[in-house]
Amino acid sequence: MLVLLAALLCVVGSYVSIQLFRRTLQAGGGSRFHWCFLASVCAGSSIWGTHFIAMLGYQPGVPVTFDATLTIISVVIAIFGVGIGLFLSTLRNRWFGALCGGGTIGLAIAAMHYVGMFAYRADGIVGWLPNYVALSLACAVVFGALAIDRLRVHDHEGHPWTATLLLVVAIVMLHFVGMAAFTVTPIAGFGSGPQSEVFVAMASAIAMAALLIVGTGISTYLVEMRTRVDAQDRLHHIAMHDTLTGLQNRHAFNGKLRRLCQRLVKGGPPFALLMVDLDRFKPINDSLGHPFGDKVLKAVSARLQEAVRDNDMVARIGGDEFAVIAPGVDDPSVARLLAERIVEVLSRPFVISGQVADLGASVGITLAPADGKDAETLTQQVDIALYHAKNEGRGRHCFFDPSLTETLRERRLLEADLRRACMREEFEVYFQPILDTATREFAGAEALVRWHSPERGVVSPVLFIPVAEELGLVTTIGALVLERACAEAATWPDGMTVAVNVSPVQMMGGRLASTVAQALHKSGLEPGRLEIEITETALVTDDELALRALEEVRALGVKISLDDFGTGYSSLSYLHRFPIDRIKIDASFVNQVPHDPGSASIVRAIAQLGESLQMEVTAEGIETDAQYSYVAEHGCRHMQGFLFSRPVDAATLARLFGTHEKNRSVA
Amino acid sequence: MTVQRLFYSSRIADEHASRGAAIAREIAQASAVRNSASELTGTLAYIDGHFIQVLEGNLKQVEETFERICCDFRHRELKLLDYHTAPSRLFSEWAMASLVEEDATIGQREALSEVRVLATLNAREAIARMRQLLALQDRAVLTA
Repeated sequence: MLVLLAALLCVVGSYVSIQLFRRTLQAGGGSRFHWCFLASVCAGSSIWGTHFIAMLGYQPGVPVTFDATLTIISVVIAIFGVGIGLFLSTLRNRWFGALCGGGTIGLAIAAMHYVGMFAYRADGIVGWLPNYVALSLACAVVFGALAIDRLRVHDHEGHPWTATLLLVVAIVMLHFVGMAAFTVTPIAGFGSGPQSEVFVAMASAIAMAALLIVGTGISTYLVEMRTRVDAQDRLHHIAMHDTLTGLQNRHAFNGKLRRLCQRLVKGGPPFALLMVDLDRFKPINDSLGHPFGDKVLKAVSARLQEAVRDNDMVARIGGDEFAVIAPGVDDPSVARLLAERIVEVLSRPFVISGQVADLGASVGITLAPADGKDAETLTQQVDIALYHAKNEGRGRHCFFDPSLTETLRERRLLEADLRRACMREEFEVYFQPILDTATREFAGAEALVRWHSPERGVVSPVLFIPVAEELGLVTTIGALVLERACAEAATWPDGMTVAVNVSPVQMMGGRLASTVAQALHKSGLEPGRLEIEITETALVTDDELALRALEEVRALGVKISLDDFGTGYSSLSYLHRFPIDRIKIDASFVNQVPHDPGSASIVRAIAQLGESLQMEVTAEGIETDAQYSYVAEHGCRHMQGFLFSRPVDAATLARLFGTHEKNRSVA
Repeated sequence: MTVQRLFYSSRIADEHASRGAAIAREIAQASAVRNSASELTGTLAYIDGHFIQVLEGNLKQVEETFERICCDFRHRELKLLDYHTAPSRLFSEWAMASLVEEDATIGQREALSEVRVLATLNAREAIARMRQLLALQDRAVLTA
């Protein structure tokens, strides 16, 4: 029974001791000292406890007592010996560390054993066999050194079992070989009476104390282990989550997508991948500040989690980009419902810190395995779908479709061609004459850009200007048109004006006034003969910036006209705030007069407005005599349209202006 | 002590339309209970499948409550109509009063329909009308 208990204490003690040894070797600085203390107390007590309990079970056949002082010294030897051994084990050199450290631990075990044996007072003749003593010492040193060496080379997470086993062997071998060296011959006359009660009580108390110390070591180790696991969990959480929103991050998203795709190959469940991009987040972040933007992003994440199902994964994979993985979805109508909920919930206003932000979101959707089976393909497809959703006007969702790839490819080709066109200056300026109804003569012309592409032929500005705006090429193209238009206008008869369209992008670029000044300087055109045409969209994006740009241009003496008037929002308010000289009635109203009463009243109202605000009014898109008479009658002085002339090239215009303008009149 | 006043309208989601009035009563009751703890006041009207609600209280509570509403899919086409700081509460007597068309008299129904039209055109006027309606309703209850 006692031998079994000793064996158990030996194994458990070694197990814990090895773990503590390991922590000692891993630890650095001050904590190494603490670990070493704990490890040596624990290992020393368990080695000693094993020995002591085994000795209690040893039946020499004679009465036995223990010498208290020597017994206590033997414990101290075990603890200090292991402690010194452990410190030596941390030596950098592998062999030196193992031999000195492990050897010292082995010697400590041996020293404890033999001191313990001197404390063992058997009433008989005690003899020692020197060969066994030497063997036991050798065993302890060799196995101790091996245990430390194994422990030092152990480099994975699992328990170092080899080292534990070697330590057990070192303790057990020493004990049994040591006991083989020990002989007791009973002396005649001293009977083999029972052990005294005091002796048993004391021995049991000591054994209990040893067990308690080992127990403390175990629990310390377990607590530390738990803390370490917690810390690792926390680190893992930080690595996989976005700190701002608490959502999973791009890393976690990529991992999940890859795992789902791998399972797909083995017949795993289908899933839908949705990519969510916030509309209008950047301007809000810029104008209301980053702390506000952060609060918006937090609210967005919370709403997204409300919109998706419980098992769906929401990840933040970029500044204002989110991804949703919806496992088990193969029905497009389910995916659509999910996308609609996301678009809906993000279209609602965000009321934060007394401010209101309207965002909205676009969503791209792709279905696995229907659309694709690998992570890369799916990510590409969902990006294409998202791009399409944004291009179609934002605030909507779009499913991936192979035809979208083709659309995107065409678009990329157009972009490449347009870049080349800018370098080669494949643009030509056309002019549409403007008629003055008062004098019935041409008063000037509006400059229009044409793209003569060698591959595509003539490309309409409607097609390429939006692309040029997005690529930032419109500034180059605009400057080119401005320069050529001014150069051309300088050759026209005195007083004839030229109107040049300016894109909102160009206007907000901050260099409009200098571009205009340069064009005027190069051409020698009087500033008063140049008109810059802007649209209302330019004014709504950032009115402070727009106002400044327009005032700079106006300061050069150049006039400003508002194009497509009546099609925008609250057009009226702009007329008061901005320095505008002319308004142009949009062709869509002019086309409808005189038969459509609504358009007719709008045309009349705009004409009156121009008069009362002392602005010139031009009607665009005059195609019939009836339109001409109606518009002229209601006070529009200038007109342009197919009725008078289509847009023509510079040479034709020069002929019109130079030779025919005096004779040209409209019936 | 100024208060934040928020005013919004929404349409009830199609899948809930059949029991819209019941939902409106539930929402009003649930928020009345919650609001009495949080010092939020206001009124919720339900007219022709549309919610129109006024929320008053401190900035944090009003915004948190509205954010919760924005996460609620029983609402569709949710529109914020007005959000401003007011010198005092208009609905201080009501944790969350309800004005449900189905519970109203013919006269009140007409007034409610007007509120609905006004809501998008002139928010402040619509809020004032809701306040009047509640006052009249209370008087009616007292005299009955």
